[in-house]
Amino acid sequence: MLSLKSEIGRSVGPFYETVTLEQMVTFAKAVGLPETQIAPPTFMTVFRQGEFELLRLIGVQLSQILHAEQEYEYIQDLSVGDQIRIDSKLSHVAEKQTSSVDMQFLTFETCIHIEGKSAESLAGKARSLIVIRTQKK
Amino acid sequence: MNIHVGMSIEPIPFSPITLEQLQNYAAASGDFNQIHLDEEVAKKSGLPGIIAHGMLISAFISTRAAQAIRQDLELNQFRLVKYQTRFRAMTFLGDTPIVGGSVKEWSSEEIVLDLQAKNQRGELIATAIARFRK
Repeated sequence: MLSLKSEIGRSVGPFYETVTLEQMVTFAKAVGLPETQIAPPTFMTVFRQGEFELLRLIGVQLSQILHAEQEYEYIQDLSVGDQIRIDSKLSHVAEKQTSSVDMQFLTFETCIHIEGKSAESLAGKARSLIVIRTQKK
Repeated sequence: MNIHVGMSIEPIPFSPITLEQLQNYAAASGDFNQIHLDEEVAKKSGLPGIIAHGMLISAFISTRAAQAIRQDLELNQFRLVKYQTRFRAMTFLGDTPIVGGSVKEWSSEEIVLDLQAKNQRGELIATAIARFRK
């Protein structure tokens, strides 16, 4: 696989969404929680479309990737009805080779803002580290 | 409650991973990577079979962390400010994640939990750090 270092800094967005009760309930149920209007801690992963769009733009198939790390910072709770803005970028690429496999580690950063609030509108930040593994022939 | 560094958070098992659960999680999260849903795609990608979404395991760990804060430690005024997960090994259909941990740092204003998810064979599948503040 070609080096993706030249793609560092590439960004997508803004994407706009409204947080819905259905999203929260479906997510809570899927992770085994009782229905709640408070987002479960990893609910921000629902707004990972920027990361998927960046992967598509740089030509990486989802079946090639594995998730290595995920980090969230929480500034404000997301609530039903919040209008949010999502911005994502590819912030870092590292490469590693072994005798049998080539690996590229991609770091994506996503910021989620709540729209329509004058100050302190940042709701949270997400940082994903994913690995692309290519077996050597 | 005498909270102290090193205090154990009892490991609790979640239910075994099923294909239906992964289908529901894909629909809820928007992560339709077929290595979590289709045996053939998983094998073509060099995996032994379908693997669970890492973020589903991360959700289980965050659930246990929140439960530990409210129920085990009775720190109702503390809220999660940072949560980091590292995925260490794959989780397969039928595996049972078991999540426990310990108190890593503790003050009257902040508490940090160290958490681990293991499978039923005792293998480490993910580690996490959850930081809560008053």
